[in-house]
Amino acid sequence: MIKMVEFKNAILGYGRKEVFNRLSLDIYENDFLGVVGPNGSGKTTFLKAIMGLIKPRGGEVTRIGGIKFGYCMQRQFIDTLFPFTVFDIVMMARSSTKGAFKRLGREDREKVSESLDIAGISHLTKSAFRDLSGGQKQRVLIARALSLEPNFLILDEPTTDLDVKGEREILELITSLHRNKRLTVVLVSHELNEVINCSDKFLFLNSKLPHQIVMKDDLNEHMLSEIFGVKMEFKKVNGRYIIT
Amino acid sequence: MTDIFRESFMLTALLAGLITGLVCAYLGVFIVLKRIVFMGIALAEVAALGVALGLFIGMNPFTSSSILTLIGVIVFWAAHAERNISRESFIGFVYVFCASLAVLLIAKNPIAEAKGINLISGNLLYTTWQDVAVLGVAAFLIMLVHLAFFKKFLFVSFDKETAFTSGIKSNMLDLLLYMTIGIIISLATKVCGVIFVFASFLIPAMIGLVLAKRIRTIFIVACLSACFCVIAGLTSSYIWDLPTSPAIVILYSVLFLFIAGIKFILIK
Repeated sequence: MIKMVEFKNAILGYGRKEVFNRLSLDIYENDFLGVVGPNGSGKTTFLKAIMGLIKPRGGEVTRIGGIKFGYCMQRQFIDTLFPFTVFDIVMMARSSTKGAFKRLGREDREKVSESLDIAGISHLTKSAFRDLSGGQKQRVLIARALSLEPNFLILDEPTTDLDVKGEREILELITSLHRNKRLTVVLVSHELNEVINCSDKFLFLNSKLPHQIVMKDDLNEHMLSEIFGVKMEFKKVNGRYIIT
Repeated sequence: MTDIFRESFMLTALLAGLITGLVCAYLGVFIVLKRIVFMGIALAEVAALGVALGLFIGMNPFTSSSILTLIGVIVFWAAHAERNISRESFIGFVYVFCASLAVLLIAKNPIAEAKGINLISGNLLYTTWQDVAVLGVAAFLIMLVHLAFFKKFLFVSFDKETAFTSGIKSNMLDLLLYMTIGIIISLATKVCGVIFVFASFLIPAMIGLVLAKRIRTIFIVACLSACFCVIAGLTSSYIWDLPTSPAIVILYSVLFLFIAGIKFILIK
């Protein structure tokens, strides 16, 4: 198995705050890592460190050569003052593949159209991004990430503020991308129930406790209760895990 | 109307006004969308201080203004919010400090008075052919940079982090965008004054955002409205003997209020 990203005793933080002390974790090709923790526990800091947006204060974060990230930021942070259409936003990512003075061409439009198809939003191509629902906006961000043909997909809280149906549909889309396109996925969420059924490896964060890396098969009620500090029940119903 | 612009001083004023109006209106769309409007006016004051300082110490005002403004650009681009002082407060501090110091330097400098320098409202009618040439070259270079990186500037302005993860050198491009803004501010402030430069950044972009739905159309509407107001403002200033820059700014404002008003009525 190819190691895509390696954290070796990494110390991470921002401003005066230290978020991770000596994080060691390997992310392999075609892994599906769920990062779960409450607000302020350092989930986004971890993502930024994967992508090289922040440098570790100590230790090492190394990435394999040829890694192509597709990043879906938290859609709540997207400024809706910009009057972009769905097509504009997905096409925007293609500009990173062009040098100065080079125009976007037919190949780029085809890639955009293909990504919109995969994300299931071809019918929204000409719609204004700011007029879309939360689930549709999330699909646009996924399509934008896909238009660069990434091999590593990173999603920051993709299901926040979505209704149950929207949440389920987005997670199904992500899972199918992981399976069919063999993408390595890192999905951040503050809800364990969201990621428990799609991830195979978990990074649990809690600002009051040391971080924990757990494989899905090793999960148990006692461990979860200890990590989250409350009694948790862990059941499998109709092939799906449910945590209460 | 064309007779008015046969007079040499009106022709130079028209060219300087059009170059400044066009470039500022175009860059203003970025400034408004990036929500850095206050940085724009603070930089205009930094440029004004540069002009005042240049005249005070006997340096070419274009040079002193460019140096100070580019320092200002780097400081604003790199500045992060401190725990106790917000970025906006810092920008406000720079604005009042530079504005006050510029007024003091001009007040104590007889050369500035003799040259008819008015940093606040500007004096387009004093524009020389050298000023037009400097503005023209700067505008050409700025447009060249934007022709090369327009799409990337949009991406970085909209979503800097994703742009970085897509392989774009976000920080460098963001700085380059700020630099182009700083260059036109530093050169245009001496000729047109702070109010005209700042209004050209702000109001045409607002007109574009009210009138157009697509991003490209917003840029086009902003530039066209700036051209229209510069020509109409200069003409009215000539006919009714009004100060030029304020006349243009009032026209910008009237056009914005008219369009926004019509849109409001139509939506109602």
